[in-house]
Amino acid sequence: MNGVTTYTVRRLGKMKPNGVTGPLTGTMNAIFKFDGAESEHCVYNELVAVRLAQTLHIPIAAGVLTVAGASHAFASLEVGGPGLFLPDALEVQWPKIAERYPDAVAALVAFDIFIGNEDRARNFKVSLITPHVPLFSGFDHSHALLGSAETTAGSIGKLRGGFLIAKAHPFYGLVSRDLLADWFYRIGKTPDTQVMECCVLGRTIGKVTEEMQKKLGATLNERKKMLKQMIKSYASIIRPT
Amino acid sequence: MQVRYRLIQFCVDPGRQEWRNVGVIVFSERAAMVRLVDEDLSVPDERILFRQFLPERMSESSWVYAEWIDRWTSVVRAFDGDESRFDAEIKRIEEVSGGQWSVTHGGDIDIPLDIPPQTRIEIGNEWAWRGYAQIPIHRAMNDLFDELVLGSEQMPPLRFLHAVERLLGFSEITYSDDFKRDETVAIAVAGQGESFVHFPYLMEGTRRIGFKMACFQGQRWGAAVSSVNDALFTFDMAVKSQFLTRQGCVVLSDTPTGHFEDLAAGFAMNAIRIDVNDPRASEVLYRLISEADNGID
Repeated sequence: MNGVTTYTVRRLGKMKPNGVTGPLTGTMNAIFKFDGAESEHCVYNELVAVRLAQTLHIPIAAGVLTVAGASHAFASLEVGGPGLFLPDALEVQWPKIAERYPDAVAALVAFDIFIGNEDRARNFKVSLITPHVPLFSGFDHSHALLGSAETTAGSIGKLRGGFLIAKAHPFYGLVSRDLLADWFYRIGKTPDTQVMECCVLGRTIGKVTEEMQKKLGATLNERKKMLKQMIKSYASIIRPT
Repeated sequence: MQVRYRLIQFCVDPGRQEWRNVGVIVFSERAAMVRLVDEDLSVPDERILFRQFLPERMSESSWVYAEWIDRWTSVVRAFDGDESRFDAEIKRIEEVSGGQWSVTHGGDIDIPLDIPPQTRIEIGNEWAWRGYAQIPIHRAMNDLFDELVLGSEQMPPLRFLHAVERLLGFSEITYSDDFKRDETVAIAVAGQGESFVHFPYLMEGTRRIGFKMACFQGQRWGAAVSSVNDALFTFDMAVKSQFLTRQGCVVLSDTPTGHFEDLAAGFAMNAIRIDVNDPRASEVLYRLISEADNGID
């Protein structure tokens, strides 16, 4: 996996006293996500997706849980350089992206299938012409996990049932079969305890109780065993090369 | 032959909503081209131009800017004659740019079709039409870029910027750790609240020096008045707030002639004007910096 994601710094401030490494205070840009009608468990979905991605080493933008107003929010750090956002990738560039970042693409496809993310679309950032700054990073997982169907129960059912869920993806038809299989193997081998630790947060987040969190963890542990078969079952949709 | 054009603008300072024209897109029924300000290290003028467009605080993001150029180029290359889809794609890029990019509808222009005869002979039947169309569009693109980007009132003429950079280099000011480019400063004056002022160049140190620029030659009267007023306001606020002393207010200008002399005279009581065309300018500036470093007023 190549590439290290950098995030947009808004402003650098004063040096903190008593810091031997010369740390500065500062602010970063972030996109704040909230639970809502479009995604009832948005904050939880986003947070758990990031935790899973970090455990599995999937290239996803970092984000943190915070409180904004009266409720929890998920702050997704904005990808880019100081003072300038990185543009979204264009559809015409997807083949070029798959060629330049084959492993990252395979990781993202595998992850999206695993968590039932049908809304990848253009939700990733990538550097294409700066060879000294390899960057590939997905973001926005509000419609995955407990949001992968219209209801929470439906989402659990679809994930547990081994359904593809992500019927469309920018990299279907472009992802390497071998690399995808490697990533499915890697996800499948992840210890159950680690997946559970990603999902169970020790407190209710929004409307997601600990019981629901444990149910999701157990569901994902079952789903990860089905991934290998899903390449064959859904080959005509995924169309790995 | 009629072509349409769009103007690409970049917001260099969201706080002050300062926008700059950075590129043009031109397209006909079947072809589209784009040209943007880019950093071509082999051409000194391009480096100066690029530096003027991209604020210093974003200098570490020049690679991100290059990615934006790639996106604009890609969307233009994918143009297939469907203008509504083209506009929709451009709009989408604008929307996800966080308010930093904007594409305005420029208009339509007629361009002559004076193609050199040999061009039509050299290319085959299938390519003849495309090659035939691209040459006028390419010329129109360059003409519009020169007029709307390089010749924009937002930008002093390139030759003036070049002279300023040359002066700063000869005076060795650019080698100082205290030298800053493109600084926006919040200034608070009692009874007047807080204002943001911008210095294209700023010397920190024992005694601070703030620089403004005023170009007169080849400028429209309105543009020259605007730059002079901006400089006077900035220096007024800076001195009142004690951000600068009177000796720390320096305007870099070219040689005013005619009515512009009266305009330039407005600096007499408020700033030190250094003429970039004066052979002794670098010496004057060097001495000014030295005196500032030694705290001499």
